[in-house]
Amino acid sequence: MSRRLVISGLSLWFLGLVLACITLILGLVWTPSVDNETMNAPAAQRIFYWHVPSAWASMLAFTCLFAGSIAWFWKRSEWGWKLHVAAAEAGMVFGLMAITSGPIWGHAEWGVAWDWTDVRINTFGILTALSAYLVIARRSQPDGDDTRDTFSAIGLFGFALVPLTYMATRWWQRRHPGPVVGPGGGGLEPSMATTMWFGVLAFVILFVGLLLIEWSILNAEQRISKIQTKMDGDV
Amino acid sequence: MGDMVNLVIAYTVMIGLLAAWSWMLGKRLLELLSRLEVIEGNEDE
Repeated sequence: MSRRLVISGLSLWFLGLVLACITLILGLVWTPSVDNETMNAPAAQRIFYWHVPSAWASMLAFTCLFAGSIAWFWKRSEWGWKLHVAAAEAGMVFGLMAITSGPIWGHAEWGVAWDWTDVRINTFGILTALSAYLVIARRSQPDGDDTRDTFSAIGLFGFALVPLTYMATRWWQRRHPGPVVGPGGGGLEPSMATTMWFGVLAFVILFVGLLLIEWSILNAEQRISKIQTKMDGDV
Repeated sequence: MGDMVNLVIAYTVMIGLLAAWSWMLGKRLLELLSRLEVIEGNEDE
């Protein structure tokens, strides 16, 4: 197993954690407070600096999950399966971060934690639940082509929710705010935008680190299984 | 004050999730690496 892969994963994961901590400090100390007329809960607004980057990192993970699922179906690619597994775990962690912080912020800002009529909130919830299902279900099933086919199919069809989730606030905005950056974005005060982009960088690095660590774990599991099969054969 | 409590709870939950997952991954990776080392040692013998 590649020692370089392990070291790279751990280094990126650690770097991502440090950058995420700096983002948190910037978000709490450096960025200005929004006024009471703009938002009902100015302090809770600072949840934004981890909420948005974690949501974006999870969308990146869901996209990798889709790419991995295609690679497995199309070429029976081993790396495709590893990407599927690693991305499902990353998608679950970052998705859970966004899906837990969002309702806390929503409760403070809107007075309700969850709106069942808001498409963005609900499709994102389903995506996170889907990745959690893939993580839990894989651990309870023996590895094999049938298992991989089933989970990859879920990864493929589940991806349809990613563009829907992305466009939801543009097409049917109800409660979740619309885009603040990019085309049609409402715009951000410069220090708030800088902190948010710093957070995005931190969470992308965290995501890559997590992916490499998961990859190392899968490599180690496969190597152990191969050696054990060989030793059993020798006996 | 209630507003600030929400902020603290949200970051505590997010930090907790990240820390728990990091710890679980690190533990699993270390376990597998040490197991691999033992098995590879046995294989060489």
